[in-house]
Amino acid sequence: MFDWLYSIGKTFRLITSNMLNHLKGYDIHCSGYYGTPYATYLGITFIAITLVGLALQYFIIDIPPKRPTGTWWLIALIIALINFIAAYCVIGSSTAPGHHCKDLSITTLDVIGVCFFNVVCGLFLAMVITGLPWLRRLSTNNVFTTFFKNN
Amino acid sequence: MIRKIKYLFFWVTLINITLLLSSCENIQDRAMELGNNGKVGKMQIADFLRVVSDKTSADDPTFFTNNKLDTAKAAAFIYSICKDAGVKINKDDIYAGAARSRGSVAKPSFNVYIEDSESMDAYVKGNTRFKDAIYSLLGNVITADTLTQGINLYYINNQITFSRQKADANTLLQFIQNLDPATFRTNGGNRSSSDMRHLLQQVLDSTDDRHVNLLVSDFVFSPGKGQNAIASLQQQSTGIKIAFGQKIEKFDLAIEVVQLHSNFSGKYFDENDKPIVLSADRPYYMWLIGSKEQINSIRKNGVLNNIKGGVDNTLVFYKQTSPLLHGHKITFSHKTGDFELPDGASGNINVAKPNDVYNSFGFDFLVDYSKDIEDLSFFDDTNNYSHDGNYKLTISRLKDSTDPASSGFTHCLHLSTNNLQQQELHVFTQSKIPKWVVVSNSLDDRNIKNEPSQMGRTFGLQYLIEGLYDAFYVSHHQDKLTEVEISIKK
Repeated sequence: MFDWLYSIGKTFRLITSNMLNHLKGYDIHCSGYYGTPYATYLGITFIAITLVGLALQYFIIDIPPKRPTGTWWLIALIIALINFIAAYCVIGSSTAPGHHCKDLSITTLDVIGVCFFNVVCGLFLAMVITGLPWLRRLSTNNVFTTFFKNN
Repeated sequence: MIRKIKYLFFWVTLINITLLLSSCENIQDRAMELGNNGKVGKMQIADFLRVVSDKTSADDPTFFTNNKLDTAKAAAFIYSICKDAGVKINKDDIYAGAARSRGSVAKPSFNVYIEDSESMDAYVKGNTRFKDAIYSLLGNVITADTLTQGINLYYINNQITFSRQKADANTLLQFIQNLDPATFRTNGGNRSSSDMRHLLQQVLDSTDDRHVNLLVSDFVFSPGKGQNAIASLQQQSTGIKIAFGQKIEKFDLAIEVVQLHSNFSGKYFDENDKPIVLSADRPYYMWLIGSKEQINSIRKNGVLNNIKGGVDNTLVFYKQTSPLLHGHKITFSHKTGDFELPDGASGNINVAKPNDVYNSFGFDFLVDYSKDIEDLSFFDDTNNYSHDGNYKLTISRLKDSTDPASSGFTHCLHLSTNNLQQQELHVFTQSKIPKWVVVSNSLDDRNIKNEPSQMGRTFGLQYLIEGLYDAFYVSHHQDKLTEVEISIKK
C-alpha cells in the first residue's frame, strides 16, 4: 500500500535497495513478497501519529487561548520524535539476523534512514494538513497555527 | 456543534487506522499462525489459499501450477515457513490436497549381457575387479526390489550364447563363480571378433518398456583376423547411429555409459587383431539401455554409481524434443548494480541498472537440477551451458545446508555483463561428448605394451560415442536439455 512512498525514499537515498525490499515484505525464505509488509505498517504508523498528534493539539487539548504561531514547530518536533521512535520500534527488531531474508544486507544506518524518512513524511503530512484553512478553523485556539505564513 | 465535529474527526481517524492495520494480513504470518495450531486441515488450507489468491498473481510459481492454486505447494510453503520459524508441525499434519492415484507401472526386467569374445577373457581370469563389480551391481539390483522385477543373465557375442532367467541370489553367486574364460569358451559362438554395431543391435532389439538392458564389454572393436579395424571405425560409428536412430524413432530411448576399470591379465587384440599379452589395469564399460523413465529411475537409485570399486566416468544420452524449462530463484546476494523483482524471486528482473562505477551488472539465481537425468556434476561445468553472448556465466554447486533460502535447489548460477540490455535471457544446458571420452580414446594401439598411456584407453571409443551422439541429437537445437528463462527490463 505504501511501497510507492518508500520508493521515493530510495530515490532520495534515505532508503537502500535492500531495505526497500525488506519494507515491501520480502519473506524470510527470500522467495517473494510474502512477508510482513513493513512499508504499510510504517506508513500507517506515521499517519496515525501525525493525525492523532495534530488532533490533540488542534481539537482535544486546544488550550490555552491565542496560541503563538511558533507552537506549530513545538508540536511538529514532538510528533517527529514520536514518529522516529515508533518507526524504530516497528522496523528495528525485524532487521536482526534470522528475522529477515539473509540476502538483504541491512545495517543500523539503514534502519535510521527509514526512521528519518518517516519523520520527514510525518512533517510533510503535518505541513499539508495544518495548511488546510477549513480544518484549522474547526479549532478554537489554533486557527492561525500553521507551517505556512498566513494572514 | 463544532466540538461534536472535532470528536467525530478524531474517532473517524482512529477507526480508519484500525481498519488499515487489520487489512495488513500477510502470507508468511498466516502460515505461521496456521502452523501454531499444530494441524492444518482442509478448511484452514482453503482459507490460506484465499489469502494467497488475494496477495499473489496467478503466475507466481511458489503457489500456482498452470495458473491454478496448488494445494500441495501451499502446504509445502506452510511447512517450510513453520520449520524455519521454529514452529513444530509434522508435514503429514498439513493437508496437501487429495492424494493423486498413480497407475501401477509394471517394473521392467533387468537383463545383463556380458560380452564373451576372446578379448574379454583377460577380465575374468582369476579374481578380478571386473567380477567384483558385476557381482556388486547384481547385488544392488536384486536388493532394490522396487526397481526391477527380476534379473536375467546372458552371455553374448555374435549371438546369445547363454541365458539364465529370473536369477535369484544363489544363481547370481554361481554365475559369478563360473565367470571365467573356460565358461566363455564352452558357451561358444563367434569369439574371434567384436562387431560392436551388431552387439548393440541385438541388445537394442530386446529393449522395450518391460526390459532394461545392461551390456558389459571392453568395447574394443575387433573385426577379426586379417582385417584392419581402423578402416572400419567410421562404418561402426554410422552403423550405431542408424541402429539407435531407428530405435529412437519408436521408443523413448535413453542410454547411460559407465566407464570402470579392472585388472586385466591375458591377451589384448590390437587394431590388426594381433594378440598382445598384457597384465595391467584396463578400462571396460557398462551400457545401460532402456526408456528414459527406466534409466532415470535406476540412476537416481544409485545402482550403477554404488558399484564396489567405484566408477571412473559416466555419460547419459536421451531424446529430448525441446529443452525442459526449469524454474529459478533470483537472489539479492552477490548482485552487481541494482534491480527489482516485482513478481518475487521466481519472476523476472525489472528496473535493472548497472553499477555506477564499473558499468557492470550481475546477479545470482538458483536452479534445481536434482530431477534431471544427468549427474549433478554435469551441471557444475560451464562448458555444458550455452547462454546469451553478452553475459558471463559462473556456477557453484550448493552444498547441503540448513539454509532455508536455498533449500530445494542444487546449483547457484551467476550471470554478469558489462553490456546490460533489455532482453530475454536464456540459459541452456547442452549435451556434449564429454572430455573423458576423448582422453580415453585410442586410434593406434599397436604399441600398447610399451606405451603406458595407451593402457587406460579404448580403441575407437570416440567413434562409438559419436555414433550414439549423432543418433540422439540429429540437429544442433536438439542437444539442448534444460532451459532457464529470465526477462530483464531496464
